[in-house]
Amino acid sequence: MGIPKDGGNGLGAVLSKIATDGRHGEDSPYFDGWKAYEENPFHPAQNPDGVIQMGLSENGLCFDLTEDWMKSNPKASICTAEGVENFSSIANFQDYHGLPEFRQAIARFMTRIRCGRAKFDSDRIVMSGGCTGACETLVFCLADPEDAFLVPSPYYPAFNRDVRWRTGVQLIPINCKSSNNFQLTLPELESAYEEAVESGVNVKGLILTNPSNPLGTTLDRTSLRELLEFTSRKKIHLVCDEIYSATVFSSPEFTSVSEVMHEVECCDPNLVHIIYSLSKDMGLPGFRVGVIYSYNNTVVSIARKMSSFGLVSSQTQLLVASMLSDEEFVEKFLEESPRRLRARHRKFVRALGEVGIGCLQGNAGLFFWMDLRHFLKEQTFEEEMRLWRVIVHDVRLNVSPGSSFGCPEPGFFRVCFANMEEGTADVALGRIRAFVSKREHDGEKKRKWGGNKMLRLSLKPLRYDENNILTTMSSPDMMSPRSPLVRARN
Amino acid sequence: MASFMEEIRGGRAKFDHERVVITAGATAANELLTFIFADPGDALLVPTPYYPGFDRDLRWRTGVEIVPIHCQSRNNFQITSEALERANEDATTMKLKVKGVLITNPSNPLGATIGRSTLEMILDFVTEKNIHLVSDEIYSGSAFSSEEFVSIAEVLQARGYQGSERVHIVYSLSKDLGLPGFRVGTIYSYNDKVVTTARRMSSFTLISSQTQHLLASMLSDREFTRKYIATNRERLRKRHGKMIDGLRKAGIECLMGNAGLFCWMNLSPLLEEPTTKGELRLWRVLLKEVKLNISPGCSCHCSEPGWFRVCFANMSEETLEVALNRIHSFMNQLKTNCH
Repeated sequence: MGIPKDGGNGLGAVLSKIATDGRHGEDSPYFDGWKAYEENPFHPAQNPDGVIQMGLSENGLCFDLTEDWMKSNPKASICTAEGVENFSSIANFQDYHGLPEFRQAIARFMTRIRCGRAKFDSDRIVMSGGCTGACETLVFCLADPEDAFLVPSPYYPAFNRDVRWRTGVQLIPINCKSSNNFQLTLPELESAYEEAVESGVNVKGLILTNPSNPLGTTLDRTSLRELLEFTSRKKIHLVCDEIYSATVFSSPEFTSVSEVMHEVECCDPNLVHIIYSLSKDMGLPGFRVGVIYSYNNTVVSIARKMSSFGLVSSQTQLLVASMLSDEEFVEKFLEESPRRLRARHRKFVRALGEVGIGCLQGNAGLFFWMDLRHFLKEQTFEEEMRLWRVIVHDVRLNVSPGSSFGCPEPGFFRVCFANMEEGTADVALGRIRAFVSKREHDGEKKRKWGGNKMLRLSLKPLRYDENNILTTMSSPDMMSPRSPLVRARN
Repeated sequence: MASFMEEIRGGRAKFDHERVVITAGATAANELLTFIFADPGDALLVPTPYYPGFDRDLRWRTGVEIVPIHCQSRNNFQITSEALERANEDATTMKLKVKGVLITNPSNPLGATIGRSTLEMILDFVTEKNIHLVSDEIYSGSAFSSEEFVSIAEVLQARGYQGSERVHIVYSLSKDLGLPGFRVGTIYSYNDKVVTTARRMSSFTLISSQTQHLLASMLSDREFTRKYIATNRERLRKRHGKMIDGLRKAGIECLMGNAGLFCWMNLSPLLEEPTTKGELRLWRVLLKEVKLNISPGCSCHCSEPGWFRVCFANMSEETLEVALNRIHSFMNQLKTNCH
């Protein structure tokens, strides 16, 4: 078509710093995994030797429940004979408050997930373009360029983009330790905070994902209280990403920050905010249903105005409002989904245990945190990457290396289990067994989690350079379910 | 989206679907492009009067400034090269680095298309200054006749796409298809790097896949889109005609419009004083007494007081009658008061 011209190399108009500084996080050596998957995607019938996608945190275990509901509720869609009478009013509805029934349904859903231990006010529900949009919008509201948020590491890699890219805000990781299962401790938080402040950084808040991505664990009540107490005392914000709140499948029970606020005497609700989405709990990432829930009235008001940049399609608002207002469906879903997640999780963890691969004891999420330290020749990130390439190319499983989550210790991998059929899971496990058995045969030693043999560790934790840019960037799969490799024509 | 955009332009321009980046509405598209072109403290030149939402979309979170390109009623508010140069100089005086020009074509609030020669002039200007050009063509399907609307895409095509890497088109289905609730916006860029970057940024503001699916079906139905575009144009033209006639009978003149969902009405003769204050006083009277909500020109940064944007496509025929009657009565009353 003779159209394309490239705007680089000083030709044509220049682009902004934001457009060119690479903080979108997608330039990464880890594209191998995505490329490998895209070039050779597994299909049980058509491509049984292809790469199995285990780097995508998606919940596909309960689509049947949702589909059945859709079939039984044609009125929820404005595209059916039963629902089309709503078409023009819905198509015309662009109020950034959102459909009242949508906000009410979301508030009720969030309350139900917490079994009524905390109540959510529909007037505080603010829409956003997925949790991605929620996170960025909230950071715009809470911080100025050069301000910083602390985040316990390992953490969801896209925070690098969501918290930092267009906002100009910094993200400072707090390195957690495998010796206590990577749980953030108060001394670690205090020390990270002091260090940041002493180096002249204006710390605006702490961002937690609870349940944790990539660990698949929940924060216990005491720890959550301690962290909230700390942020309250220091008068900094606490942002809790509770996107996996309904994926908790075994004990301990999920404790939301909303439940402990009243237990912390010095807690200032104006500093507490939750971000949420239906992408994981309900398996609806395509619908872009993000929520900001703030206990700060000013934040609610400003975030609502900012939501103009990322409103939820009114068509989707109506559907979601209908679905989540169906209490019988919600009850069934919230019971069945964790049950299926638990079964799938157990299947994997048991099978891995049988071949000597340990995992962090997880009770939530769509993934588990696998320990392959004993597979590394040396405890270095180079070795981790080497092992990762073997897993992607030889075992043909796309899993996510721990370094892409900023994990300070090499050898850990996040493995997603909820985005595949049972048959595919069996194939994946078969490949892992074959791989381990081959290694045994080749004379490699294996060790279970928490073994008593001390390794000589040469740890190389991720560091931020003086420009606060991570020296290695994130795995390609976490940004979006599609390949982030953008094909613009030359 | 690509084929729909082609159809609106009567096939006079081709669009490559690989260059389409989706966003949740044109609101997000305009902000996103601003993030891509400009750093905080930089400026975009925007002809006045302009859509009031630009103050938020282009400036709020981006930290970018808008420097107005002042347009005058004496030449129907068309953009002139003198006005462009003057705006550029204004920016320099304010020590602002200009990163681009943003035009809305057809114009909101003028309700008129930008002529080919003006588009050529603007393209030459941005090329000379090595800056970007964003053409917000959100009302392209609302021009009363297809031939009257010239897209920047056509001008580029005629030039063999020379210099196209600085040009970007914003579109949405909110106006042409009347689907503002669905949040369907697009960026169409001729610049590979901008497409790549915009696509990455669109993660913050994607369109619900449910809605994408519906619209993919709808817009792929060529019979439907052809009929819709033609019928929409015709009905808008008729409604516009009715509005203009009604206003004229009441003694009110409007800018000669040929597109959009509104008229640009001249009430400057009614102002007590030819100032913004006078305009706002009149606006309050129209709102409180005549009970019509219309937009005062100052909210669109119009440099001349007394102009108002009046929307006509968001109501039934009957309601339009009521509105026109009220205007008629109001104008009669004014005449009576004068005597």
